[in-house]
Amino acid sequence: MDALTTPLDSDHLMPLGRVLRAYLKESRSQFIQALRAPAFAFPFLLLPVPLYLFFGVVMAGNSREVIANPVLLNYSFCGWCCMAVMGPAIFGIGCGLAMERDANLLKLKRALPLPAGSYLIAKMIMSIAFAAISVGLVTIAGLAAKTLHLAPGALLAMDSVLVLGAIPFCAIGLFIGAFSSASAAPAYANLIYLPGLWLSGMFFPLPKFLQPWSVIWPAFHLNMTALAAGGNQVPVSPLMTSAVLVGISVLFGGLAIRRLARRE
Amino acid sequence: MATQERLHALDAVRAFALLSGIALHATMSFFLPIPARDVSQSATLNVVFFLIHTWRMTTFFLVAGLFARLVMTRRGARGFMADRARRILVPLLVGWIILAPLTIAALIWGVGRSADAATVAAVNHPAAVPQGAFPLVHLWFLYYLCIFYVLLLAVRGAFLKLDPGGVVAAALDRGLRMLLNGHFAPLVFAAPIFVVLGFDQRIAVLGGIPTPDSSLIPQLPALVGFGTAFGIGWLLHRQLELLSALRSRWMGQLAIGIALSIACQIVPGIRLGSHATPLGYHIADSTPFYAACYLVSAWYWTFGIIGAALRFCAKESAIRRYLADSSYYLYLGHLPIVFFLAAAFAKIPLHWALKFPLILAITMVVLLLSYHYLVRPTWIGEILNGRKYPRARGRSQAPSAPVVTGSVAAPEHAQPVAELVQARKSYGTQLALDGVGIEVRPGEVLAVLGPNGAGKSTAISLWLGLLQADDGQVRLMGRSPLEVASRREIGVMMQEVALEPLLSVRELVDLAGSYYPHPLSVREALELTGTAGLANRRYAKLSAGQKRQAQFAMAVVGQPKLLFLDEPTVGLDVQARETMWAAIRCLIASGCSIVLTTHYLEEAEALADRVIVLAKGRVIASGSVAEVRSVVSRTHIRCASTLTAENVRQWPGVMDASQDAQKLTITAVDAESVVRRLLAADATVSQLEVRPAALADAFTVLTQEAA
Repeated sequence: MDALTTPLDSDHLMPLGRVLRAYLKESRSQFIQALRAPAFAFPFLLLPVPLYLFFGVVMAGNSREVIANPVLLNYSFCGWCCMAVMGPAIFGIGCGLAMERDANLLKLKRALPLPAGSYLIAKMIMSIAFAAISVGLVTIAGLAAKTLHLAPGALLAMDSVLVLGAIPFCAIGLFIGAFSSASAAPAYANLIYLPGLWLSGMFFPLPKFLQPWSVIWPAFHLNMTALAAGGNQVPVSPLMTSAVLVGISVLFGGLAIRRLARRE
Repeated sequence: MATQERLHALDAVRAFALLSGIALHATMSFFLPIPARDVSQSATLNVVFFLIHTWRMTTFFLVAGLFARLVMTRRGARGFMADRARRILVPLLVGWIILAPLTIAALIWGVGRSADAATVAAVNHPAAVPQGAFPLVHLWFLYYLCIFYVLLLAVRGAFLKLDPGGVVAAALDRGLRMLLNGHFAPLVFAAPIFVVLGFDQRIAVLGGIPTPDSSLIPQLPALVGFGTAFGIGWLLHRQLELLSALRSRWMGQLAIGIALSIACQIVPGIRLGSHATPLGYHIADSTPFYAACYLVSAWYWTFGIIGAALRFCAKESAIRRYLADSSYYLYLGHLPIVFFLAAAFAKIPLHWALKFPLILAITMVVLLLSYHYLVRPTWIGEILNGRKYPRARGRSQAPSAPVVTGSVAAPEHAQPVAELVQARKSYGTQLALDGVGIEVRPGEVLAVLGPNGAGKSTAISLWLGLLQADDGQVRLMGRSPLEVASRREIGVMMQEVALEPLLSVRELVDLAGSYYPHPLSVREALELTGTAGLANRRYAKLSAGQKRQAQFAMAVVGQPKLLFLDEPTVGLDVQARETMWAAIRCLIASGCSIVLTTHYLEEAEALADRVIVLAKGRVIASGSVAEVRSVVSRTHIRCASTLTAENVRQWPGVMDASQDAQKLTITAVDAESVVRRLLAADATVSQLEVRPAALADAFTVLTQEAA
């Protein structure tokens, strides 16, 4: 057909295969970019392993409580895995998205015919893939050091929950990226990440007055859900902590999408 | 202080009183067995409850009395009755039918959940059920407002009959003025209720004026206590200027209120605490002292809060306005939700410092969302707020209007590939597009020109779906630009975009191609745009011009039917620009339409079939390049000559003349006669150039005229 005379009759429909390919390409490009940024890839992929080995295996392994009850090592394993999951999601998405917004890249993407949500989904897939790799590496380290007191099935369940647990942090990352400027995003990300790590009671017992507040940090809920999935004793209902994680994903993800989709 | 400002402040006070009521009810489960006994008990929240309870209803009824007179003066007695029936009586009746069963259900569930012997005994105690029991729940305040309105109409009628000269009214005004300008008004205002309750242990047991929520028979303490406040509010409206005294003394009044509240807490024999009796208080016979402190403190608190509002909340604020409007609905609707949440949370082993804010937050989110979407823009909002706020305006569809068109450069019968019809867009008060009509026909190159701020970018953003028009129609490929399908037929090259820096040009073009159903291969796109040499270089490493070329490759890879090029050749060297122009001509030859915005007018001249000139959001010229250029009939003459510019400027047909070191430049309307005279006047003239007007001249003239 001659496009000059019948410009509107062209085939503008995308075959399903091409739509899926678009999602795949977008995810691949996000992943490649993350790998090509050493300042991002190194700390989030590799750093959790030596940290876990040093603090979670060597240091914790020598404590009196752990010698008395070796199962406690599962708890420190889970804590370091949570850390491995949170970083790429909060920083990778939060700071990346804020920078791309500032650089008008998001505006261009909105003008282009991207399949619905592919850009954000790609970012989430990148974070989940990073989480899977770094949780996998920590798991290998734990197995090699023989500090995991978990049946294979329990370990798999725990790791699966941890990897999927990247989703609420992706939502938080999206929220930061959608609302803050590129220069402010790292500050906001740190504001969620660091206190979340230390005040959720994942690595050491909190002072009594801080204990009731640990529930306000999403990391606490991921930690508890993952521990429970691995059959470890937890002081709260895993159903409730999972519900909180889902709630965080829906709330922050929803707010971010609403903000990003806004056309003035 | 203007009356309007005073009223804004009082509106804020009323909202504050109502919203504080929500917080008050949310504290109950943490120290009372009602609506449920929470596992985490809190003496702190007991104190919070006590403090809010002290002033809340006194303040509310005072403001209600003041606003009642405002309505009366604006609408007259008949209008007043109609208005109050609609905004108070109807919500009371309808609200009760809906809210009372829900509240009671939540209450029963909550008490049942936390059932222990003490709780059940307290709830089932015969004394808990007064005579003529009727569960007014928290809507009792509407019932008492109705009572006060009736009493008011009666008293007002009596005054109009018995005091036609207004002697008594004037005396009351003088008395109120004297009291409010003095320091002891709260003592006087608390006196009537002290007479009723000063020796009644209920004031200490219940921590204040007994809430008349369980019976339709008017209760004396509430009638006297809140009636006094209502009456004083009414009188205060007669002399709004008296509020200034409260404004300047807010801090002192609040300080006294707080001091008296503390005194209430430490009165010997009366101790607040969650473990004393089922209702939290241990009683002894110091009731009169407690009652005096309490009842007077209520008035100091009230005046302190009103004064603070006059001091800090007098200016109109959109957020306060919204909250004030919503507060009535929020208060009406909150109780079942708060009670339900309190019951639901009662057994969860979390600290009250988490649960209490959570209950409040969930309640507020639920209520605000329902208010925003179900109440504010509907008839319910009209009843509660007295007006209906329209929903935020979406895209309105204006009727079709004639489109400004110029001469024909493409088949006119063909359906436009992009259209703006009477498109209007403003940013705040600044109008960016003022009813603009533009159409892009298949296969044509349309140059959109205009000075900075003319509306070019806005027009393009409307077509790309990045903005929504306030009015008028925007069509892309015959559909809405918001549809992905429309955008699958366009390519875009924007200004000031930084692409993914760590991807190579090949990866970027490949990625862009993946969005389209029938893209070129990456190699074809790179070859078409002359960027094959950049294929493996990362975007971050490219020069500014090379980045534009990479963006161009991304724009064409999808084989678009329509290409938006925004300043495509900025930063390009001459050769790269020629390559891009050649690629653009290639696309045009294949039937692609192009919308070009550029500051290089020679670019528009070289490529465009048609030109639109925008200024101040309007189309000021439209047509082929030749047509637009012809709006200025001028010619440029340039030569080396011994004549001076000043001399030449005087000649007929010369518009302007200037001179630099080597050459004389003349702008003329009648070029032939000027050249003839030039050659006659100076036999040494050399290097003569005669050039017709350029698009740039037309652009300058047109935009200057528009300015």
